[in-house]
Amino acid sequence: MNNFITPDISNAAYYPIWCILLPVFGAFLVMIAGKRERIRQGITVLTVAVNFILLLMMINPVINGIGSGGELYKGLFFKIEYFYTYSFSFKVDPVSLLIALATNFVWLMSVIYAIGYMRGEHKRTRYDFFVLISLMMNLGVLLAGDLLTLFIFFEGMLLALYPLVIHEENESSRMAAKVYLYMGVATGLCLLAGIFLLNYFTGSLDIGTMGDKLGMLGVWKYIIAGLLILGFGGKAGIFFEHIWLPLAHPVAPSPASAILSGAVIKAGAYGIIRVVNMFYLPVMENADNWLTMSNIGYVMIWIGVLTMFLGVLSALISSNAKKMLAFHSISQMGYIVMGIGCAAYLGKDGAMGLSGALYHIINHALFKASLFLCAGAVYFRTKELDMYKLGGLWKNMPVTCVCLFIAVCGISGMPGFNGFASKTLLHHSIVEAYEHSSLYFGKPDKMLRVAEIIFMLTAGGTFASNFKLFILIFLGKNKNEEYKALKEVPFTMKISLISFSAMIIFIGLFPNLLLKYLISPGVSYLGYEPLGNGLFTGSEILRNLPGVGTVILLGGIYFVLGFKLGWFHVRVPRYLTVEYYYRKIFNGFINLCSGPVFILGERIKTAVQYIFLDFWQGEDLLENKTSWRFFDKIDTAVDNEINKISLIGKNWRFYEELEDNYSKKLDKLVDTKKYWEIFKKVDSSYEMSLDKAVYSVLGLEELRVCKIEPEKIPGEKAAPWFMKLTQEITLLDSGDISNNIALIIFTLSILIALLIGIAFFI
Amino acid sequence: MLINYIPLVIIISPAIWFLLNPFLSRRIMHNLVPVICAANFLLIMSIYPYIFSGNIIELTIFNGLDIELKFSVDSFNFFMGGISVFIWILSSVYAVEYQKQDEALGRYDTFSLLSLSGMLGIVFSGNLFTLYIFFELLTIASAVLIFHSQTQASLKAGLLYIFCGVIGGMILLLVIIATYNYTGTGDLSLIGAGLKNHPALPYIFWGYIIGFGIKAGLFPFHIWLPSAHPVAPSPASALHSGIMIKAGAYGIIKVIYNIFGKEILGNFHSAMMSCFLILVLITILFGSIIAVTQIDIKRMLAYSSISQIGCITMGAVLLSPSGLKGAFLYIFNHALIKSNLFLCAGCFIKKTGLKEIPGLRGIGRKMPVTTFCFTISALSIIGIPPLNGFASKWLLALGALEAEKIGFYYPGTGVICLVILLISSFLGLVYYSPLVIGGWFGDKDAKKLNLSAAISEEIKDGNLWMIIPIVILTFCIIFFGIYPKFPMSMVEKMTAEYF
Repeated sequence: MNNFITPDISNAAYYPIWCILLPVFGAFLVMIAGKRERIRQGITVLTVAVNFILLLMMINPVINGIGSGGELYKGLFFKIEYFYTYSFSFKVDPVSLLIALATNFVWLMSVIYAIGYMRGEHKRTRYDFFVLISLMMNLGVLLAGDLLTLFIFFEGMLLALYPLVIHEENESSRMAAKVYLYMGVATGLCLLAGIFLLNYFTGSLDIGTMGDKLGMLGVWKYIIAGLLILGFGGKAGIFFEHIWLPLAHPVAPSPASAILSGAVIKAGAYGIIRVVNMFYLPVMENADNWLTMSNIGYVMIWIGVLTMFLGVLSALISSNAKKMLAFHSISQMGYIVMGIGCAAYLGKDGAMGLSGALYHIINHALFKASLFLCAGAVYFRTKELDMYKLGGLWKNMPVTCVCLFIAVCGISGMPGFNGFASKTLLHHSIVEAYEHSSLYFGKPDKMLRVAEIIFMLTAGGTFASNFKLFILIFLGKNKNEEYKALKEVPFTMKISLISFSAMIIFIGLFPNLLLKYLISPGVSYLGYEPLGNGLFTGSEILRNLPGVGTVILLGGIYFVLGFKLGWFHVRVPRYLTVEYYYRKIFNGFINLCSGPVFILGERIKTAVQYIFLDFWQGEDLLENKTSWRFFDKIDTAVDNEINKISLIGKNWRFYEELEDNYSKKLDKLVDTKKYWEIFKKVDSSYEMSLDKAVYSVLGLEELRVCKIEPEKIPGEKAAPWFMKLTQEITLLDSGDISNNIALIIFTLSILIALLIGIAFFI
Repeated sequence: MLINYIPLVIIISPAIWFLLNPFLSRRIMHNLVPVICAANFLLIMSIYPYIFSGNIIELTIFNGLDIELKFSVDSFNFFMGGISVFIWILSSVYAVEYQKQDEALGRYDTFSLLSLSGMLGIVFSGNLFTLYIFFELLTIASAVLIFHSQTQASLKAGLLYIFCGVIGGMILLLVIIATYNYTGTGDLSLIGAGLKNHPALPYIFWGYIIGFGIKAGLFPFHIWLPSAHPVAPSPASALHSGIMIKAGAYGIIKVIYNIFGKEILGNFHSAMMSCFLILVLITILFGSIIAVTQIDIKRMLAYSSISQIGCITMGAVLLSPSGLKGAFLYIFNHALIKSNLFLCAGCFIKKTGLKEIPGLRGIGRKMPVTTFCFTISALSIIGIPPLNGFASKWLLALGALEAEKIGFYYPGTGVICLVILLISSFLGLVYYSPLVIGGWFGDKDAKKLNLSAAISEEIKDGNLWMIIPIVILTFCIIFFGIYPKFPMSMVEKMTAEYF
């Protein structure tokens, strides 16, 4: 640990705040500029560019530090007293700065690209506004100094990106946006639950200072870590939380997809890095913490491996270009998560894994954004995303073609392009994990060997799938006459494509530069022993060439299987997808809401209404012929008879006579139709109301569209809610009115019991 | 001292203003109502420094009898009174335009002011008899607001409300008499430990809970709420849902912390408190689950209120300092949020004539300001930071975990509370998102379906009098979310009196 630069030491501590505030300011200027295209676009690009320069200015104080009073201060720290005992705080260390730089670069290229791309789109002001707001939120997540601040920006980012996802406003985008929002809030709540527990157990939310406190917690530390990883994993798209990615990325406009895939999901990876390293950072000698960390690391390795493999399989069989790229995002996030897992698993020696993960975060931001922008460029001209319907476009769009080729080489990990460096590191780390596992078990863990094989299979799949994209779109014959006259994309779009390609090649040619100056400080800041500076020397690259050969060979096999045997067009059964089960659960839940629970609520309501009101209003309904009077009549008649008889004398025969009389009278009375009419009336209206109830429960859709006002339906004069009550009676028993009495007596007895209970003790 | 009579003036003044009714035209009287409320607010604010320098105002009238009328204002009472009158001002400003076409303006104004008197009487009362008198006044006066629209539905709902309210009042009277018999005093601040170890304590406790629970709308007693809130005119619904159900929550907090005391309940009756807590948790889940199924906007808001009042009560029942803080802050925030939601819903209904949520697709285009305010409030009630709803949920969650530490309840209770709180947050998203998302992004759909809200060109934001209260409330929601110092300072002070 080192001392952070606070505002007392240098004004540099204010940079994070400027980084957060500037996009907000820009966003409001954008709103004012409104329909004036040039000015608005200028403001957007300028804001993001200035923000990028601000981040570049942070490099010196964060990496090299500032000396003051004989001490060296590294990293920025700034705190605003905010809420209750907590505060808004910002903390910039090498890890967050590195990811923030990559994020902001993607954003800058995306807004430049959007100048050309968004020309034909609607609601451009809204788009620009929310692009800037979401930049602010994303940087807030990365630069936050405690988990509460991080959470606030995390939720803000979710909402700010929502308008970008739903931008097209058609059925599919609305569906995708819904999944995105629900998934985001649900995982956000997991994160919040983790934060609550963390705060409760440790009393602190500072990022990276709670290892010793967490060590004591027993099973709770795993629960906390699990909740936090679930929360961040939702954004990162780890397996079983990935479902929003392949839905949301294709429907968003291409620059927004580049932002989502290149930058936003990295915020999730950043969170996972923080969570996993939270346990280890301050106390290196604590063996218990180390064990916790390697347990978590082992789980993370497998989550990563599963994610990368399933992601690439899904990518191989998809035909929509952007959907395929979204699946690749999932797969590449699997690489990153696996790297983080390896680092945690190996503890202090895990520098290889973490450098690989950090390196891959940057590289993936570059090539995936580039791929999305290239796919977007093709879509911009052809309005077609199905790659099987495209072909032979290299003549029309040479620049896009070359840029796509470079990005494809990057993602496949070809030597000379950026993916090679990070994938080599990640591969080394999984091999290292396999070799070091003998430290824990006595003999090497065979399962990690399997993980390494899956890693190679995935790399082959990535190669095959991405070259398939390139071949199908740009090589071969042109399948549509209309595409013959296509032109290259506009200038602004070309700028961002070329910049990305240049960065990919630059990093590919000088892999040590980034590693030495940006990644190693971060790795050593987190407590790992840094790698040597000259990892990627010539001989090292040569040593890795067989690996590259394996990948290409595997890719070839995939090609043969895919094209010759038609495995690229396999459709997976519904029940093997995760979406199916999510949908089941969600629909089941909604059914539960509108079914049993709703009916339970209605029942309670009707029961109470029945007790309090039915008796009173019933008279009104039955036109003074209530059953009460009916029974009264019988009673008085019987009484009269008894009086008469008792006057004459006590004789059994009289009693028999009396009974006969009584039953005759009763029959007569019952026959007087009125009684039956009343009940028929009640019955029929009860059925009507039952129908209505069934409609409102089951036929929600019908009611949603048309306006039905129950009061205004003609012919239904008497109060329908009463019928509902009779429904209750019928359900309870045989429709006998004596229930009425029973329930009233029941209520009264409760009240009296309460009274007696109290009176007794008084 | 003169200042001792201020609470009395505050309580009586709204009620006596309607005596002016015969002498002024109804229109002028109607426009005077916000002024009356504002004057009342100034009056309340004038005792703010006195209260928050640590003093308590007490006033006893009709003393010498066994039963006396006693008013007392401590910081909690002041807090409740202040927020009530504040919402009342905005609601009546809104009503200036909203109720313009109303034939029975005089009735609405009169009973709105009478309800204000009742509400203030409840929160400023110093003993149980005073509380009971104003409790009944509030029930009767606010029932007239529910009857006001005079449709079949409102008559039924109002009847149900009166029945429930009167039964609640009767039970309350019963237990008040019992309390008086045991302790020899009805004074809220003096009852204290008088009931300790008495075998009838559970009976009395449940009596209080039923009496106040009916007003608050806790789970088995909630039945009047979802039918009563939607049928009232929107400004009145805002008052009902934003303020009046808080009278029940106020009562429950007073019962737990003043009449019985948290030590007695926590140490000797934790099983009973657990039962109550379960009831409250069911309320939270039940309200939000039913709200998911609603398509009538105001009914949905009413069910949401049930869920939120459950959260407030949960904070009190947890018997932990942070929980109580959370409950206090939640009362403040929920009053702002829910009244704003009802006022916005009133705008929608007034302008489009539709009250079904799917019918309001594309409303964001026609009524941007109202929809924006609705969106902010909905996000706040879901608990999205940095809006004010988040702050109170944060405190409640802390309280839940603190309760675990204090140990009045079984271990694990706090975690269950936390989980239910988070689930209800998520359900909040599920039931608010159709309106918000459909409102902003549902333009094309609405045109396809020929919904009147999308086609009609006349639909616009309401005029200034309807917009101003909504915008002020939205500003408060954002401001107190970012800068919660002001309510928090009061909340700290109030909590310090109990812990």
